[in-house]
Amino acid sequence: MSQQNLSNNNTPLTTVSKDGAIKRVDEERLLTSAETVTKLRAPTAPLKIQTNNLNIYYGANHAIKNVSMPIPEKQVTALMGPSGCGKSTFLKSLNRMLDIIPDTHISGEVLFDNKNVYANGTDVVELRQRLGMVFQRPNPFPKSIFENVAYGLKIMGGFSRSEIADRVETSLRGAALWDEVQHRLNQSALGLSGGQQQRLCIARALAVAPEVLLMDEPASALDPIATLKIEDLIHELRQQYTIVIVTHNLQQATRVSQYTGFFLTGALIEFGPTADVFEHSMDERTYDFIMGRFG
Amino acid sequence: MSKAQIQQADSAARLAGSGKFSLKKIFDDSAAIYFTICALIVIATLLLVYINIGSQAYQTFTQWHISLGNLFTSNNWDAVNNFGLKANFSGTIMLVFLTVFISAPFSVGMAIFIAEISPNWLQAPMRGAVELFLGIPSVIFGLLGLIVVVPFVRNVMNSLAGAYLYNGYGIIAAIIIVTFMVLPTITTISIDTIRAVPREIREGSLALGATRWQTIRNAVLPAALPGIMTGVILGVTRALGETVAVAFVIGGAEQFPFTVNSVAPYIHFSNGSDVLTTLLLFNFKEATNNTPLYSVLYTISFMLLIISAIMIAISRYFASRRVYQ
Ligand SMILES: Nc1ncnc2c1ncn2[C@@H]1O[C@H](COP(=O)(O)OP(=O)(O)OP(=O)(O)O)[C@@H](O)[C@H]1O
Ligand SMILES: [Mg+2]
Repeated sequence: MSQQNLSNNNTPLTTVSKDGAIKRVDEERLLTSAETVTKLRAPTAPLKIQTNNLNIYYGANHAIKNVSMPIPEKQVTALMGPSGCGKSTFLKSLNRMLDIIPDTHISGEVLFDNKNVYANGTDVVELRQRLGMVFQRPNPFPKSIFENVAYGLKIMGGFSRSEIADRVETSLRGAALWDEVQHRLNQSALGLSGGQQQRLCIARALAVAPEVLLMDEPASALDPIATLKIEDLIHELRQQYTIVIVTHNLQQATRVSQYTGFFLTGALIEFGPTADVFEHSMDERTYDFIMGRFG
Repeated sequence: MSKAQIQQADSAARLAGSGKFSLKKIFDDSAAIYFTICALIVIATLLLVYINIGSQAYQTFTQWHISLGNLFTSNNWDAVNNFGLKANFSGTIMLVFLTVFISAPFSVGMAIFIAEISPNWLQAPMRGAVELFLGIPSVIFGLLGLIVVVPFVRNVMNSLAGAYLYNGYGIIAAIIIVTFMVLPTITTISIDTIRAVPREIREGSLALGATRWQTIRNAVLPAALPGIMTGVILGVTRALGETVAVAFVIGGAEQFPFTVNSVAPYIHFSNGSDVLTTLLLFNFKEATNNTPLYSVLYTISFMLLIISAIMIAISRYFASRRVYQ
């Protein structure tokens, strides 16, 4: 079965029926495709998320191909691969941020705490609060620093003023930003440096007490020092949160992550503990990528 | 090729290059001179307008000894000896505030619908329709006002009053017409500023669990507010300066837009009033040089100039506060 056939086929290969059960339409066809078989070294840690046969289409563009990936709890999982291989798409599928893009089709499952987030009746609002997201370019709201962090809480409602103030402080401390901004909480967030803005966005996500942090190249727009601060912060956050981070920077992947998944043209080629993936790649393409031969 | 030959060729090339360069420089310089002249002409014209109108207006106070207080506190206008502008000034204020008060929320709502809620394929045609509205000449609005709005106001107000009291002309008809004229101004600018709010801002809000409506209300609109305010101020400027369309429906009578007394319904709208711009329009034909009327009309013009300059300054302020262009 050639890749051509797969990517030209824009009907989902599996469908989620009304009761949330996954109906496999043509599973065999995918599994025989060498391209979508993952060389997997299964993690020993308990899993927070597991995707099963996840396929994502933008219109006719098959962006994620049959990806089954475990994401261990309270570990940092790095996603790497060349540009356009589907890392961001995969990340956005986990908290259903793909829902807002028109003409996307998704099949397969994303199990979060063993529940399929694409099952009917999922509370997307709650889901997105439990899986916080940090974007590639810092995207603070044009509001005060305080209002940025309080945003999610005010959306949720039901917090008193003092509770909000407390949570804002805890979140800013959690994002290692408190010391720098405590005296100017009422100033515009847009006056912060890029690195501070990104930590503010992390604080903003932390404020709604998530369990998972999804980070899409959170340091790629930052200078080396700001990048180091973010990496230190990720080390800290791992004590409490499950982290999935997309990175273009191989050194960064080795510095911050315990597990690594390598994507190529929408397929998960290899997954395993970061040290193993980097030092004993099971797939030649992973090896080539790490050696800087492409991507 | 010998070294000398190479050097020769080199310097020849350099000469040729410098020749081209100086030609380009001449074009550059002449363009700079041209644009400078254009800018100077614009500035000079503006200065002349202000100086001319300002000096004519000044005579109201020096030659005719009419005080500003006189102009603003008196209700009495006969175009010969008495120049009380209170009624017209009140008319203008009422027109501007009510018009913008009604059209701003409506425009923003429409902009939100067009930019955020309507499906993609509908957005361009709807924005086009609003722009078409923007391009309608005010005389057409005036005619429509005369044919449609004045009878409408007459019927509604008379049936509310239960007696034939109103002819339909006056401030209400003017407000209705100008509201329709201000709507597209605020709407198009609001659409543009709402669209300029980057996708990342919406995504950031949605990723925190906000619904689409919460995102519009709490993230998109605050981010677009300075731009929307620019549109509102431009709406104010348009309402303030609108003359022709208003002239069709205002009735042209030097009386207060409404009177209040103890008889129900307490507020009685006048059959015909005037605003500053229409007062100018209706009186300039009769005004002869070297009369108090002439100077007073210039004073009104000067006031309109100053107020619109202030409005432009305010809108510049809001424009400078725009985060996303
Ligand atoms: N909104 C969209 N609509 C249509 N196609 C899209 C959209 N977003 C991404 N794609 C396509 O899906 C594929 C995967 O894109 P994705 O952004 O997930 O890649 P990526 O690995 O994150 O790349 P990068 O490293 O450059 O960020 C690409 O072919 C891309 O063109
Ligand atoms: Mg990406």
